[in-house]
Amino acid sequence: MPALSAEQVRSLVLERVQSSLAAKGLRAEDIPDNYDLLTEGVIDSMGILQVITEVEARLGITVDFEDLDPENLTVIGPFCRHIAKKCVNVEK
Amino acid sequence: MEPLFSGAFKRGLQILAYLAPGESSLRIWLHRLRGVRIGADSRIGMATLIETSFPEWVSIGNHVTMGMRTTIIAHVVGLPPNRNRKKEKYTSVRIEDDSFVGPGVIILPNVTIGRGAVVMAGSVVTRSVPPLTMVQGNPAKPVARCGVALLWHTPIKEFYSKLRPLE
Repeated sequence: MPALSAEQVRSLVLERVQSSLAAKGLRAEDIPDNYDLLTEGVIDSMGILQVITEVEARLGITVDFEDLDPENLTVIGPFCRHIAKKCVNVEK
Repeated sequence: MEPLFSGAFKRGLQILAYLAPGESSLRIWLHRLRGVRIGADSRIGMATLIETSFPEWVSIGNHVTMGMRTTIIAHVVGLPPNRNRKKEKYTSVRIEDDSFVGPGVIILPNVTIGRGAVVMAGSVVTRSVPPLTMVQGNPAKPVARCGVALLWHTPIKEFYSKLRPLE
């Protein structure tokens, strides 16, 4: 499993929610680091599960969110950096 | 055959409970008066219908949160409960401690929602739900394993961070 950068994880996640972003008239490149996918209505509780499932399937790892501040779970920047960090740890 | 007075009494209280304020106080009291068994520190949302004919067949545990417009049906027309079990308190729908039932859920007869389980909004529960399992859809199917129970004071993101999707 190749390690991915936070930017690559971000592309993966935003690709997954592309249709919801488009419905709000947003493009992936417009999304700031502190954009909260949950409170902005891009994903719901099922959406969180779907994003996690998809990322895990694509990367072939199980991501543990214990050490991520729950408040940042659905914020695009911290979420993607957390996953990228986990990828690196698995590589090691 | 249901006695006329008791039937009218239960339904009258259901109408009051449907409209009454007080998710953890007055509404709970009215449903208990109808015969629904409800534990401590549970909350029932507005416009909830809990088994109009046989409310005593419904058991709701402690720390249960139930969203608005939930409907619980505990009896099946033409299928009376097993008469051999008459001596013990018959329970058709059991919602165990620490469970969370989202708004607009329909719960059908003869199911148990396990301790700490979560039923997502708008789901139709036709089969029992294992403890600490999140179910969704019609019919409701398991979608995730809950790391913690979703109590009314649990921060939602903390709950999400401990969810594990099921295959």
